[in-house]
Amino acid sequence: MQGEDYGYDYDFLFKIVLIGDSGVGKSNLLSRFTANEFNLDSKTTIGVEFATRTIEVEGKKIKAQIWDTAGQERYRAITTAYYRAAVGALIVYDITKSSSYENCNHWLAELKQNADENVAVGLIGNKSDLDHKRAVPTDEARNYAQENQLLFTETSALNADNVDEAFRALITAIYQMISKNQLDLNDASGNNANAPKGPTISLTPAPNEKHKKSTNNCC
Amino acid sequence: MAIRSSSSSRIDQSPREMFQRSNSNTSSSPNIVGSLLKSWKKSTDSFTDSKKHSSRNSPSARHMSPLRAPSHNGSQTHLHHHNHHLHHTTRDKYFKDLDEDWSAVIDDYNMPIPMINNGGIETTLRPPAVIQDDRAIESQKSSMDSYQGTIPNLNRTISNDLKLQYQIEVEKDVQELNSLMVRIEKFKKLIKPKDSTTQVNLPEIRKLAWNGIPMVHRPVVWKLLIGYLPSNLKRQEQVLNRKRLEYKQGVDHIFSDNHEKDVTTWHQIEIDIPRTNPHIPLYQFESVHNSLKRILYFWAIRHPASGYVQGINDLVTPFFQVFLSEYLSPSAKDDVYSLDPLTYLTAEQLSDVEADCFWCLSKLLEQITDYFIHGQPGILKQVKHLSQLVKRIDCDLFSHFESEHVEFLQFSVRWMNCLLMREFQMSMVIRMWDTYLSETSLETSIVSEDLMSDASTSLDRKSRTSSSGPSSSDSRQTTLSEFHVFVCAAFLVKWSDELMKMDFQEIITFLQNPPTKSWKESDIEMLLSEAYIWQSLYKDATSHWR
Repeated sequence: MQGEDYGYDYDFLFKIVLIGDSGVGKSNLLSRFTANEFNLDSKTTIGVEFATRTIEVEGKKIKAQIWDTAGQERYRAITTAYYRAAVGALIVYDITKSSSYENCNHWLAELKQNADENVAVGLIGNKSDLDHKRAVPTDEARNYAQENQLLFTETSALNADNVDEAFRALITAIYQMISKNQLDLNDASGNNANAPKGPTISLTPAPNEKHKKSTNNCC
Repeated sequence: MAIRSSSSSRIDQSPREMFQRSNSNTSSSPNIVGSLLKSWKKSTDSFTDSKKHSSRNSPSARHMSPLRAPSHNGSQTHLHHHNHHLHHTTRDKYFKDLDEDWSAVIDDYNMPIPMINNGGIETTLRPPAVIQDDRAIESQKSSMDSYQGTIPNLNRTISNDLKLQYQIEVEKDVQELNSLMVRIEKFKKLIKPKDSTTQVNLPEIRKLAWNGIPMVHRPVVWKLLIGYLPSNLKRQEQVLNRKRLEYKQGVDHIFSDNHEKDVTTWHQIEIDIPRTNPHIPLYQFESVHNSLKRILYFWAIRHPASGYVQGINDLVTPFFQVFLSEYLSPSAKDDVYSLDPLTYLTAEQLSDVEADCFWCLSKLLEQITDYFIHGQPGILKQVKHLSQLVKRIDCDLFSHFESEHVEFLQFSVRWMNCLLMREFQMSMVIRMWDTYLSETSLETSIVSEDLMSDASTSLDRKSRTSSSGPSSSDSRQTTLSEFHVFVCAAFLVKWSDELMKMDFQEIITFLQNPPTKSWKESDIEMLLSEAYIWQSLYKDATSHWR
């Protein structure tokens, strides 16, 4: 954690979406990663919520702008709009609820349909602290992840196990992909001009904050 | 800004007098009458001068003890804004100069801290508040002398100014208490007319309710406003009995073996109920969980086009606790937040409460059906209206959002979906709903049946459109949905100054968690009044919304 900060200085800005069934712990994963907090009594997410954290990967400061989405099917019209400009996604299931794992297929399909084809995806089995209630075997999920070229981690937002690692692995994967391919997702997302976008969804290096403020234009 | 002058004059004319006080039962602001009323609850308390003083001025006060006095606007955090007014003029001093020393002195004497009455937060629409303050000051100054002898013991070391300030506070509280009593009586006469009238005067109730409903009358008034309880007095009991029975039978049926459970819906409700108002003890009781599950599941089954959608669980709760409070003694209404209903209700009574909630929720959701159907077109439409409106009323903020790539969809979906409930404390939401429910348009649901409507309904319509009531002074009716967009706009532009200095991330983060925890009823009332002003200024521009 040393050398990292939560400030504005960054080299890259990655937009990431958190998706998965209702009640699997998406919001708490986000608050654990961005604020090191866990809320036993958090309310349901309506629409989307947002948080960021900047971490360092291979000497570069990368700001992860993470959009936490409502899990209920009915919100799909609103939440899928956020897939389009995302460069990374985490599909979350609850290891104690097999239905939430089975639905990952559905989530993956929806992501492929709405997001950029180069989007990096991780699969997260959350609530690993409830191992005694486990309904989804780790190996099964790992195999599924491998077949579909997804990163895989089991996490516990409650006791913070693997949460940082899961996000970090995804962010690193995105970074390596872009530094290898020098992708410019600006062009790609330009095809989806209607998609709501944050200030800088691009994978191109972010301008420094001063520049941004003075021009009122982020990229 | 041209808005300012027109807004203040509008306020003057408006029957929705923004500072007309209702009871503010839920206020926790440390004001004098509030604490007096609280202490009345405790029979062991000895009478103090100030109590005698208040009760003398309001003989009926004692049995109304649960009704806390209206809150004063402002909060301690704002006191320092007014320090620089110190010693300018005597008049200013009494109402604006509240520095820390003053609070400290008051603390020494275990007295509540006097609060200023100019709204809780900085806003561009402050002028109406100032006008009202001036008026209040004039009236209080004129009648101040008569209360000098009845002030509780103040230490001699307190300066005369402070003493005077305190006298004025007491006087103000007494006035507010009196006006509360008047309001309670007004409502009582309207909902239980003594003469031979068979109809309650719904337009009049609507008009009055806009400014807040006293806690004792809120359950009945809400049911009237939303069209659950008929305005025909003779039919009220009969309708209640029928509806409650219908609910009971319906619930019995869907939870019987004959009904195949909708597993997805049930599961969603089951995981959402424990996450409903998690910070209020009431919603932790199993009895409450079961009640809410039944209401929501039954509603979902009966409305397949929508089904249960997250957020509806929030929307049912104001009804639930307001209707529960009907069964608590006047001195214990606030206990609704912490008591298990089964400690003061029979199972039958709880079922009646459930039924009332179910029907009122149904009526409410009728007004916003398109929020929850597939694709949520109602919410998307509302978000669009909000952005159009903000573009008109605060162009700078709108441009700033554009340049920061902030989209309204990113922060206002929840505002629409839960009618801003997530943005405020429950007690504030309930006050807000007094106004919202008086904005519900019964006509939207019956407009197609207009020709077939019975005499009472057309009478309602006629009197409503012809009266000078706030929502009927225009040629067209307003709806809850439309008014809500104006409230959202007023809420957003309230933070305009702060937001203008923020970048994308700061804006979204701020709007996800706006600083409203310390909001008082007066802040909510200011917000509603501002929304009303915007609505009257922009009504032509928005007529195409419907």
